[in-house]
Amino acid sequence: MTASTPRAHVPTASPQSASVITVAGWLFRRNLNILAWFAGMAVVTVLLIAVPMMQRFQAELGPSLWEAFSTSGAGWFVLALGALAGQYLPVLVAQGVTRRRVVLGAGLALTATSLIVGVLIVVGYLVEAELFGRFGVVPRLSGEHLFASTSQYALVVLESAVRSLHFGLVGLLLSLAYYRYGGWLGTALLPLTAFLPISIGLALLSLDPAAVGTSWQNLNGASGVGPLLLAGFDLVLLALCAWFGSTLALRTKPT
Amino acid sequence: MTGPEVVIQDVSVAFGRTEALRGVNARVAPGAITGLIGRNGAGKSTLLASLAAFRKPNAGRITLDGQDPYENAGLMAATCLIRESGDFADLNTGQALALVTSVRSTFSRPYAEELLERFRVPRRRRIDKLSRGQRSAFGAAIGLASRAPLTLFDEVYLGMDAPTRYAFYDELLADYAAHPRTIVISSHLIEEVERMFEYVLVLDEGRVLLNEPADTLRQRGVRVIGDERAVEEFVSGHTVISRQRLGRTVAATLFADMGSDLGADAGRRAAAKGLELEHVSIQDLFVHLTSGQAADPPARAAEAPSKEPA
Repeated sequence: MTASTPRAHVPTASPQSASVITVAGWLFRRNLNILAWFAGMAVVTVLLIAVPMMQRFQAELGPSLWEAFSTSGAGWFVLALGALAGQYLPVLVAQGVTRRRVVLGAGLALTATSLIVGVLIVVGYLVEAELFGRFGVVPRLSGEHLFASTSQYALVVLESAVRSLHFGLVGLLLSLAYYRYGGWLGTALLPLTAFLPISIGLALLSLDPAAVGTSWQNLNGASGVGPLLLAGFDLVLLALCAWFGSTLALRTKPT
Repeated sequence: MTGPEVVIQDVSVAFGRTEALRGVNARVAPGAITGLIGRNGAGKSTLLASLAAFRKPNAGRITLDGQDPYENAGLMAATCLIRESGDFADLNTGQALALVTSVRSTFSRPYAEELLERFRVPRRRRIDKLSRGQRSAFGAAIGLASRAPLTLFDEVYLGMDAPTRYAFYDELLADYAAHPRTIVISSHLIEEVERMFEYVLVLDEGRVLLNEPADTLRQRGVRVIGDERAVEEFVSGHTVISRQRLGRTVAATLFADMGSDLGADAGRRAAAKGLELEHVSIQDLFVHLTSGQAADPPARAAEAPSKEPA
């Protein structure tokens, strides 16, 4: 062993625990990186696939293509981000953050991410309207929505953000379940950790669940109360994630 | 006080049917470097994971300054466990540094950067793509630069090459002197690190075998070498933990203090019988105590002494 270099004695400051906002900020920045990549892929897809397809099938243009994506694909994308946030729970706990703060931080980060997704969905509708307009067609919505027209930007953002957040929280829950129970049991529990909360959430939002591939029937007709109900359900889901997360043991080799 | 007071009371942890810890009682001396040693599977990693609130014990209680650390924001922030396996998922070194900087208030990024340079850890590379030694060095740098009041290193130097290991020991002692804190280093490779230890906690099969100041332990192993009959007469009434024979010559290792247990005149009595006496290193003592072949093993330590360091 070499001789250690003498250093002046410096009093170490008392440690301050990381706040929920700090955790949320770090997770949000990671989401933004992925979101930027995703948005880039969307632009490439539109330019390389959608526009040539429109030119080829001009006569059949009419139903909104973006609507199909924004009511299903965006949700699954945010679900993946929620699952990713769950993957970082051990990383953050290892850095001295409590599990509850990680989960609450993830909830905040997913809320902010969902709002951005809502804005991107509005941008998508605008781009689609512009592209369809070049062929003299107005995109037609076929599903039930809070908005009657895609020009009701606030309502489009609200509906999209609430739905995306719901998927994100489901992603967080199933990620925690996979961490706790492993691959086999984690998969066996998917009806409870994913399909059930998604179906309940979409029913509350009063949208046609067929858009996300479930056969659950609407409980209510379309109404403005849907997002409120879903937001309330999401609070319950977040509390469930926080409780479940707080019981998780980080994996340890039995040595 | 330069680190929390760590008290472990009747702690048991099981993984299914495997009992990793079985009723562990111990105190960790605050503001000192403790070596946690034990064979593979002795329960070292499990004990450290429990101290760092990575998991809850199945039974018993762990307290840091009198409080349970599990989900305790203040105590978890004051604890840093660096595991050989690493806990950084898919992050690269830059992202991991940014993360620790944002969530650990005591973390010194400039010091971490300096250490990574010294340990020659490549930058901007995914941590799980680093070699085992580089991953260990990265963890060691994070652990040192975190300057957490309770810093726990779990076999952190495994895979490091010799220059990096020695640089790590050097930095650990220097930074510990500048920023005193409670440090626990687990290891089953003791020879290189035992000089750093002020206290030694030995685990064996999930139980505490010993928990003593390192200097006391260094005095506890005595080897008596000489003619078989003379050796047996000399060691009679003492705890013999190992015997090796070569013809009529026997080397018996005693678990006994040279001065207080064998008597002040032990050297003179041994010389009169033509015997040689020598101290045994902590590593040799550990090997004999945990080999399962101890001729006459000492009783397990129910609870360790917890002398406050000077």
